[in-house]
Amino acid sequence: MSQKARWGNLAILSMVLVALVSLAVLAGCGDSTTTTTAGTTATTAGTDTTDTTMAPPEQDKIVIGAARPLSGGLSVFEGNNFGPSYKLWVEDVNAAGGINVAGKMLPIELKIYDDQSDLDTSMRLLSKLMEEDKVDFVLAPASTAFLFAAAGVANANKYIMMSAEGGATSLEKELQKGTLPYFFQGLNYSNHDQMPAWADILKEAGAKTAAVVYLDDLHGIEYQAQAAVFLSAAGIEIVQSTPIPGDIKDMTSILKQIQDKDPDAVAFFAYPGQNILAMQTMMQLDYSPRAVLIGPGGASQWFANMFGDAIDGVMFEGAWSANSSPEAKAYEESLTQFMGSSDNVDHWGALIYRSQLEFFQQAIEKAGTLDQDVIAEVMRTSHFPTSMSSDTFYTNQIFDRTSYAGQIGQWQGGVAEVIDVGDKRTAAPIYPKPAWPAAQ
Amino acid sequence: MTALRDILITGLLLGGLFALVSVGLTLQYGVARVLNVAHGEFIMVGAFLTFWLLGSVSLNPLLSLAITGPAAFIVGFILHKTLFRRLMHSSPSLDIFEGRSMLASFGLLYVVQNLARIIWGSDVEGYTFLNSTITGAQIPLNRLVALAFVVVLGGAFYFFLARTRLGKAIRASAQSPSTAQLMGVEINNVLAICFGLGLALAAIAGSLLSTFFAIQTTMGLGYTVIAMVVVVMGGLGSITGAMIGGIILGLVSSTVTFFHPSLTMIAYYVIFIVLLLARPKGIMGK
Amino acid sequence: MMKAKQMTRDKGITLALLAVAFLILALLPQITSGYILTLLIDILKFAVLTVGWVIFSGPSGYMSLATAAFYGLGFYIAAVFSGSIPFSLLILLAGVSSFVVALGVGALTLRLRGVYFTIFTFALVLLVQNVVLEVERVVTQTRGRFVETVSTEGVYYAIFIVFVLTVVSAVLIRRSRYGLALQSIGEHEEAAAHSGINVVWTKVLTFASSAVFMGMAGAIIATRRTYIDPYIAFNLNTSFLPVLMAMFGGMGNLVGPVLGAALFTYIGEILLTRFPDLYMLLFGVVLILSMLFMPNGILGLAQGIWRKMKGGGRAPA
Repeated sequence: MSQKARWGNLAILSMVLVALVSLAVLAGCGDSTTTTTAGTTATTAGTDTTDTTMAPPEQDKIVIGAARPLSGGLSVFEGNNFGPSYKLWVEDVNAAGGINVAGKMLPIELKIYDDQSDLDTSMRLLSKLMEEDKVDFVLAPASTAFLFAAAGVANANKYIMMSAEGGATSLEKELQKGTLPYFFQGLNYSNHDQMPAWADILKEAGAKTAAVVYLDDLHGIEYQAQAAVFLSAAGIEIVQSTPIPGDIKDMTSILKQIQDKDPDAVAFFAYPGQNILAMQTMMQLDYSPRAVLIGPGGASQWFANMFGDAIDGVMFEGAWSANSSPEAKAYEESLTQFMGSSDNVDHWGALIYRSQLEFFQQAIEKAGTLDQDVIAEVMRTSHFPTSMSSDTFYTNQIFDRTSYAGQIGQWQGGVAEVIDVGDKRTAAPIYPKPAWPAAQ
Repeated sequence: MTALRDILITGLLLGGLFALVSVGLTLQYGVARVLNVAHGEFIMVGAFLTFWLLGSVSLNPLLSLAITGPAAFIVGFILHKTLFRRLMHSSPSLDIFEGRSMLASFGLLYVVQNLARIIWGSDVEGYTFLNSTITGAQIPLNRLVALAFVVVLGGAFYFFLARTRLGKAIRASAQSPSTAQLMGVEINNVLAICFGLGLALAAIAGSLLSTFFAIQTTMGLGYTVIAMVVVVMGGLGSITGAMIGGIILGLVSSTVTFFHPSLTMIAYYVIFIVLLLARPKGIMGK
Repeated sequence: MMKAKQMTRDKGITLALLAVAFLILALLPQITSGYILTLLIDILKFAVLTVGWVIFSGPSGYMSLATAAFYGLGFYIAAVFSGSIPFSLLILLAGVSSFVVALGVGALTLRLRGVYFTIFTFALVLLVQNVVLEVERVVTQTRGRFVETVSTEGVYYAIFIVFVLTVVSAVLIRRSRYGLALQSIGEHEEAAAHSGINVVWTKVLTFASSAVFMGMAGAIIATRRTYIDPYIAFNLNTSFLPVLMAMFGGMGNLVGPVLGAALFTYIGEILLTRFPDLYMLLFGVVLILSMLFMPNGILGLAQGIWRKMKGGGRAPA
């Protein structure tokens, strides 16, 4: 290449770089001038709280932002889980005029970006929402790994973050350290929620042995470990524990090995793809364990629909039922109407996400300000009624176990029922599970 | 003994599936020289078309192959005639064309996946079809049907390439495009037909695997990865190689799954790397 | 005479512009903070990966998809050692480890050519990802690890310094004996071997050198994440994107890859935030159109325009 061409190229590069950087800086400066004023109003509002006479905020809407997986491997969550829940909540709040902040009704505007199921993109967009768009509140991204990273980013920016599809025992340690004062865990998970409940159910039914198939993933590994703890405490022996990779294409040999040992209960701590394969393979082998527990996906109506009568008696991680309470029933109906069919109603998280947002709204109204510190304090200490419980509250920033509508569900005659031992139960467990219906 | 029998049966069924997923890619690369990264997207489209036809007009999944295959062929033919042919003419060398066509197929991947998401959403879907076993050996019926299709399609292609005029033209083009042209082969049509056939095979594979796997509009890349591994292991451009590569991977998978399921993926890549180091141009490579 | 004068003037202007760009980038954290820095960190990250990739794959024609393996290695070095050793040492360690691992990988792949080499490196990323996954499951009984975070400003300066280092090294390697040897290997490997070039050593050494910067970038970016796991560290996108960016920018020289990384990320971000539902569709169309209408990348297009502006002197390709 000639000297001339080389210098020409460098000139192009430097011009583009200068242009890009100055564009970015200009955009940033433009924003920061407008936002300094917003910042001061927020702080004055914050100091005002000590006087308990709150002036309503100057703005006339609340902007809530989130980086969610509209595309990519995690997009199923946005379509089925937290996605419809927050959208319906916003619709309901706005239909009622908005959120009442110190006497002023503020409607909600959503600002949703696509994080493409990519962690780097997700975190960059979350920073953009908080630092450049200056949204009033943010919602969590999907999946546990993203939640861990997002909790850190939100805390650094002093934004409240309520979990969505995610949460794990490892996060509890971080909460106990007190490093995440703005983080609130909504969804229930293995150690003090679901595995103790399942152990109780099996013990009550008289099961003595169990087998576990788990995905080599955070969800699978933690559930398998907690199942080992709580099942053995309940006197149930785990006769086989098999890790599987996410791309598994055939489970015949695994299930035949389990069939030979004939345990009373079999659990699949994996995601929908593997869980569907597991169901189909058990049906092909005509192997019907006395109890089957299905992890993520198993709680969704579409999963039940896919298998028709064969789903009868299958247990799932969850859980809430339309029979839990009139509020739960009303919510199931409005969610069905909102999504156009009951296909995507999820009997694990849907009611929890809803209740989390109802709780959040009441906390904002009680705080009477949009100041994150004040609201976070209200959330840590208050009890509010929500769709899942008349007394919902956080203990150490994690929803108290008594606040949930249930932990383990079972499909009975096409209906999701809660079968926990105790007062959350909506139907007695069917044990043993009926045999698979004859193949068509 | 039963264990050995199970491993063999599962391995062959799985191997057939891997081969099915891969033959289209090997045809596209071997002749048209396009390393089609969007291969798996067309598998996804085939699967969703079948699912959709079953749901809307209750069309039997096996009959839907008669729609998904030809539809994908037409799309592939047009794509080659418009996009890849142009790229070929503007590229100074074959190496450069390979790079550019791969980049363009990335574009295709994004476009197809986004369109599919708009049409079918992002949910996990599935249905049960022939979900029973042939008693005794417990061979799952739906997988057996898929294997039968692989054998028939593979045989048909072998015959087509070896015996027919067009098949000979394709082989000639794969070996030397310029000589083929001198021999009077209408090269552009041959390449477009090959690209179209590759997509048709992808769509058929998708239709068949939807009868036993859960499907999702984001599933494509996973199958592209499998197909690339199989095709490279077998030797690029060789249909026999893809078949052998698929069966090897299937047997490895069923054996490892039997003894230690969590090592399955590691075994895939270890066997791939070892085979490639032993035969740097694939099993059937010269 | 006229021409020489013209050239010195051009040279002067260009150097001045470069100095301004350098200064602005260096002083940026003093002027602004937050999202713009975050975006620039991502742009610089991709610039490092892309230029790093071009060091080996550009002249040699061997298209490596192993980028994610070295980048992910950097992630894990950061996860294991963060908090116990200084940040700068961490980055250095990641670079050295990547170099050593890449030497081994390079030696393994000597016999592979063309697409076989490409898919081999691709499978390598997946192998490493799955091995780490299994090791973590058995040894630490979990999937991921927590990483100690570093301030945005610290990360920005670190990636900026590594970026400058990458570009300078790339220029030096390109002009060195090895760079020229690599070029002739790319043109005709057998001929290069006959003309007395140590083909093996040249390939392995440049491959390992390019991995240094990928590993460093990984160690830096990992400290932006609270939590990492094998899927995040060894993500195939990290292998594919630098290739796309280099081609998008144009591979004729080192300016193209930097341009490609910057514009690709920037355009991507704009499309992503403006059209979340159609982002991929638009992006795909842009990719296809750019291959059809600017096959030599942005650089090729810009050179064309530049030439026209300068009065149509025929520039060499």
